[in-house]
Amino acid sequence: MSAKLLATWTRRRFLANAGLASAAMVSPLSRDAAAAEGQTYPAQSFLACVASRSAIDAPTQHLEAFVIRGRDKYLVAQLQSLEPIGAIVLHPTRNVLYAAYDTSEYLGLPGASVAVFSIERSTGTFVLLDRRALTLSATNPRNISISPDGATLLVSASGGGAYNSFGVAADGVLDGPPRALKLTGCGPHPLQSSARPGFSAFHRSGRYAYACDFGSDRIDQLAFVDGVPGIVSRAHLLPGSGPCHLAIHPSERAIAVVSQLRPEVTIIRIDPDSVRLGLTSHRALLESARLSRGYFDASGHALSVVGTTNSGAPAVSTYRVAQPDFTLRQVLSANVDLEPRLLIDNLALSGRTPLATTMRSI
Amino acid sequence: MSANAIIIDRNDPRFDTLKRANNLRFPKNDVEAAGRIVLCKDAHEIADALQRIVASGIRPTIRSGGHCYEDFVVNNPNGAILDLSLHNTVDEHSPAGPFRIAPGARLGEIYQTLYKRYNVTLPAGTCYMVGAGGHISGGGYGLLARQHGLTVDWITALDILTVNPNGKVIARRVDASKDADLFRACRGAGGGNFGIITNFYFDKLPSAPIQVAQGTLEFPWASLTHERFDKLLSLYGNYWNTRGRDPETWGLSSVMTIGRRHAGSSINIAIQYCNADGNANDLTIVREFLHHFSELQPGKSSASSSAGITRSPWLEATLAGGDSGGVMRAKYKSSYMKEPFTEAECSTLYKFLTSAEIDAQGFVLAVDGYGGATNVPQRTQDTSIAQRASIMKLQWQCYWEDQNEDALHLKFMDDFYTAMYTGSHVPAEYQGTPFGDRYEGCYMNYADADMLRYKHWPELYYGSAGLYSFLQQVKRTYDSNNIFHSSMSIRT
Repeated sequence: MSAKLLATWTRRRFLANAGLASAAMVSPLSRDAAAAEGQTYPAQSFLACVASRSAIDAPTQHLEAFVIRGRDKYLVAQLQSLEPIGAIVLHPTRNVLYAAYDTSEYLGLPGASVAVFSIERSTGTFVLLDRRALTLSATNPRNISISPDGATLLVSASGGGAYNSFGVAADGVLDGPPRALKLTGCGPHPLQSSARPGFSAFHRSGRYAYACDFGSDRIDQLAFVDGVPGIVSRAHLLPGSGPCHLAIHPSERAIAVVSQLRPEVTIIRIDPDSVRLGLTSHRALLESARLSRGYFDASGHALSVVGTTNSGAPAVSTYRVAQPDFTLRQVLSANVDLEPRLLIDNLALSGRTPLATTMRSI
Repeated sequence: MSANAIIIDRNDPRFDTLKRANNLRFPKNDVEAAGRIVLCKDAHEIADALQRIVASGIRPTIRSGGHCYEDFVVNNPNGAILDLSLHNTVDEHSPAGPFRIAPGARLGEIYQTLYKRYNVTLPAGTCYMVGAGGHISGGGYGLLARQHGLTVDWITALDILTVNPNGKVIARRVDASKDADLFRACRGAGGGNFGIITNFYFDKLPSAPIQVAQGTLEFPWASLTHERFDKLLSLYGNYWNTRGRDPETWGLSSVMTIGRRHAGSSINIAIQYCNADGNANDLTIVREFLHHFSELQPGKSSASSSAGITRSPWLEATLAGGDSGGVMRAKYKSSYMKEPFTEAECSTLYKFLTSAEIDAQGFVLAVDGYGGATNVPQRTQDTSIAQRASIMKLQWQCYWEDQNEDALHLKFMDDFYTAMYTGSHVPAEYQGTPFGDRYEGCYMNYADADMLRYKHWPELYYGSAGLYSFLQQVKRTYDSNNIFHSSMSIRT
């Protein structure tokens, strides 16, 4: 299938579809969007993938790959899956996608699995290259990340309270068995009966990753010694926070942690020499919102936090980031770049609900 | 790791020996092998070692005797095997009791110590190198089970290490009044599910028999047509389904061993008997049992008495020839039967054991006369053994040496077992498995990962009366982070 121009999309269309115009908590982006259509599209092109589902053909899930250029998006590959996809991530340089299936069993064993797909633009398909079981008890993965050098894949098995890491060969296929790090921990909220590792992001060096443990109100710094993940340092959030996402500041001297149970963004300093997690330098509590993620703009001067209002409407809050102390000040209007990841939330075709997204520049 | 525990890592010359299970299929390969083995000699060392293992985020697996039939222990990539074999005391907790058995004690040691020091015994297994930890916590039965019940029926308390939600190791003494749910769970489902049992306690134990009578009936395969084979199985099953239910016969135990037909081979029925008073003076029950098979004119292996029956001291009989064999590659399965063999089952057995097209080399089916004191329905309420109505218990075994034959023998066992429980004698929803009105599923101490292919596998092992959901709740309560897990552990 040749790449097909599916739709011209605009920030207005994105925001309208996402319902941000009705978001009570945030206006900066919506006002900004209304006033500046077409103003802040990323200049570069992206390869993006979305896993989604619709109420019509549930439980079928749709995996789609797009090329995004400016305002335009092109569908380049698609696949239907009857197995629930919990997380996806693109290889940093190759047309390879890793998908973690959100299951508690694979081949009868109590663990989930990861599939490796080649994105074949010439045929418009995802071609399965490999599928590997996670370790025993590593169930229901909800996040997957890959190091910037493409050498290490990290899967967060939320259900089983474990990280699994794989070595990745130069051609993108998984190299060797998974290596596990089993967590313990809990929190005061009923959803925190056990450790629930979730979102992770690699340090630019590829040697470390930072990850959220939703169940234990912790942020873990992981290192990979001979491919085996281990805890290097930890930062503890307020009990009952439920961290769900983090963003590494461009300076790599702090991370912003977004919490869901206690709707809060927390800045944690990173020691510039050891890259260990340090002290919490700032907290900002957001009212009446369920937060999902945060991101810094390229300059590091703005932090946007994405979530939904109590009524379920999408919402974004934006903060100015003061440096070097990383204090936050919420702003009512801001001229921030639209985060590419935000854009791909609206990529799923025909009104399907996105479940997982990933993108990289090409 | 513990200051006193012995840590065997991959650089230690002992590692290659100690990384293995008795079943040489495991570890599957070097990658699947554990990263280290930690040998502990007491509960404090075990607790300390466990705490360190949990804190470092690696998987602990627990080994007492090393006879686990599946990959629950030694397949543990980069993990740690906590080897309890040095924690093997058998004594009294205090001068007034109760009896205390550590998980590393082997059954043979337990029998000797309990007999010599206290003149009591445990109604446990016949493989005397088997460790108490796995054997007892999984149910535990043997030649005295029809007379005295299962090992778990006698436990009155146990010490167990659990890991709390925050990862802290907690030492607990549990019994019917303290953490009673965990106590019940460990009486039959305690192997590798909830924590590490570091001591079993028994307020009382049955008196050791003084003397037993033993004998063996032999039925040469050469004399067994299909019809006579069916007759033999029918007679055997019918005995346990009728006369064998009478408490008067509960002192009688038997094992029928059936292998493939080949030159000189036979099907044997070995029996052991003692009266309720611990002697074997009155052999009426034994003679009646032997007479039951007279129409098939069996041979008798023992010629030391006129009836082919010998009497010997119980301890001597119990310890003689009762090891666990050498280390081999092996595959096991199990089935509980509530009724005698069906025609279809007999035909399947006959076909697989006599057909020239089927290679049954290394296969042995042990059919134990079961029931008696094990079949007390009320014990389903205070133990985690759901099978309390069976008359026979089958242990399917296959042994071989060459790794290259793994696939061949595993397929043979799978095909054989599946065929045995496929047909009109098994409800449609349970085809391929021993479940339904005629059966009570499988025994977890004879774990068989092939059963994982069936959605109802938990029912096979834990019944369908709510025990599994109870165990899941216990799991959530005492091991919320699922530290103790295997391919067949309780799932949350």
